[in-house]
Amino acid sequence: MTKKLPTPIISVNNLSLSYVPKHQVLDNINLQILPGELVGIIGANGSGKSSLLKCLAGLIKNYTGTIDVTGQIGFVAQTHNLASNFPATVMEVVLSGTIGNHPQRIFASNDDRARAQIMLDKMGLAALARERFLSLSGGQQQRALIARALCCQASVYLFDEPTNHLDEHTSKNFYDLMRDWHQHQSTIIIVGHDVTHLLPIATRIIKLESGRIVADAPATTFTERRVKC
Amino acid sequence: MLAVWWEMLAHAFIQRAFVVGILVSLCASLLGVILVLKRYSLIGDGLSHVGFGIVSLASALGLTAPLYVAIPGVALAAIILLRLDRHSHLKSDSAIALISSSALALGVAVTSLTPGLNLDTHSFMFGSILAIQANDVYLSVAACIVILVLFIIYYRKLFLLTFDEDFARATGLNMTLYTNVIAILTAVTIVIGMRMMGVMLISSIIIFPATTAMWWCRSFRATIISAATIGVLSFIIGLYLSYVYNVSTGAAIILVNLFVFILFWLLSKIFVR
Repeated sequence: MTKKLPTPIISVNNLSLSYVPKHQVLDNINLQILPGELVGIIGANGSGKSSLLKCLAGLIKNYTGTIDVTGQIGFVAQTHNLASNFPATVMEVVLSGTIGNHPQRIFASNDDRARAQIMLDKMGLAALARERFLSLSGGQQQRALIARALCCQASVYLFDEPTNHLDEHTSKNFYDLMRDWHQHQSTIIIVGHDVTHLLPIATRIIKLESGRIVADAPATTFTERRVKC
Repeated sequence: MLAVWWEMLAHAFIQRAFVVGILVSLCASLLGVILVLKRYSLIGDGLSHVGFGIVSLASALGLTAPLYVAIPGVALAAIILLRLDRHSHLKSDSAIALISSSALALGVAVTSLTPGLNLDTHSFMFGSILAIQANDVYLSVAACIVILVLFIIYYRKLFLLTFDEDFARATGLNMTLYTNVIAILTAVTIVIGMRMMGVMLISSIIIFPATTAMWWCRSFRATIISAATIGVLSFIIGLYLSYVYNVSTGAAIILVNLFVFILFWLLSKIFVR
């Protein structure tokens, strides 16, 4: 008797994307991601990693093929485009991550605030909760955005090069946090170059080249040399 | 000063202006924070021109309540303008310029071509508190209560829409709905405010309070509360000065807003890190 496989939490079939004619950003991607996987997506610049993640997040719609994602998504983008004088405290930004958990709620609940406070603590930003978000350094802002994503009670967390603005120590903390987070059976997808930190925590590595999947295997079968972008 | 206020409020037209002005200033200030941060500052300008075009057309067609016709028309224009920015190569500033100048041209042409049309173009362009009728007060009160209630209900989503629309979309929130809500609320505010403030000046009560509050507020909530306070107080002071010095109400309100803006800018240079 064969063991029944769990239902994929993300199912991608024949996904193709092009911004301009005759240039495929993503070329016939087929992908099934199971609940509880921690997937690292790697590849050189322009290989289609971020575009794939944006398609999964629902931010790009003009693709062909199908994408099915079960449940809510927590998302950290590679870049953000804010008004240079945006007035928002770090706590307001992090707390906004809880909005999708109970969209019908008019005000944040005590539980929402407690969750935001926990995430701020985890990201080492508790002391800066009342500071203006844009007065923080790039690395601190990124940590706040990671805390916001983790405030989502999401079934899938998508991170697009989350350690880009972080120093070595903070990057390591982020990956340690992802390892802990993964213990809660969360499904996590991280797009990144940081193979040294990604490889030890990922359960699976997907490598893209020119919009195509060229490798997809358990992380244990990869060596750092093989996955180098 | 109190004696002047008693004298002012003895006039029915001032009472109407007082009620409509406070409500419109409040709504415009609240929505202004969202619009300024979303870089849609000039949408008020564009929509007021569209409003003028529609009111002119409605008056030429003999419709008795042109403001009621203007609200859906301006709301539609607002939705189109906000959607164009996301779904078209034509960016919002260009779209606003095209739509507003076309609507203004239509309004002026219709006014010129319709014999016997009694539309005071100067009053529409620069505002007049004499133009506010009792029906306008009822419409304004009802519309402003709806705007305030919706603003409170959608406050958290509007923050997310303003701060990071991509994150909001990824978490599954229907940002198209909230963008349309903002478009409709802005349109209603513009239409009910443009008789008093004037087509040329109405966008200022959207932009000034928000930008003034942003000089020194650290949080979004404080910015919203400060902008609303600045907007309402600037209106009250502007109305008073307009009465005392016999200047256009719209112009007086904008000049007070300008003064407050400069004052807060100076204070922010001195006190804010």
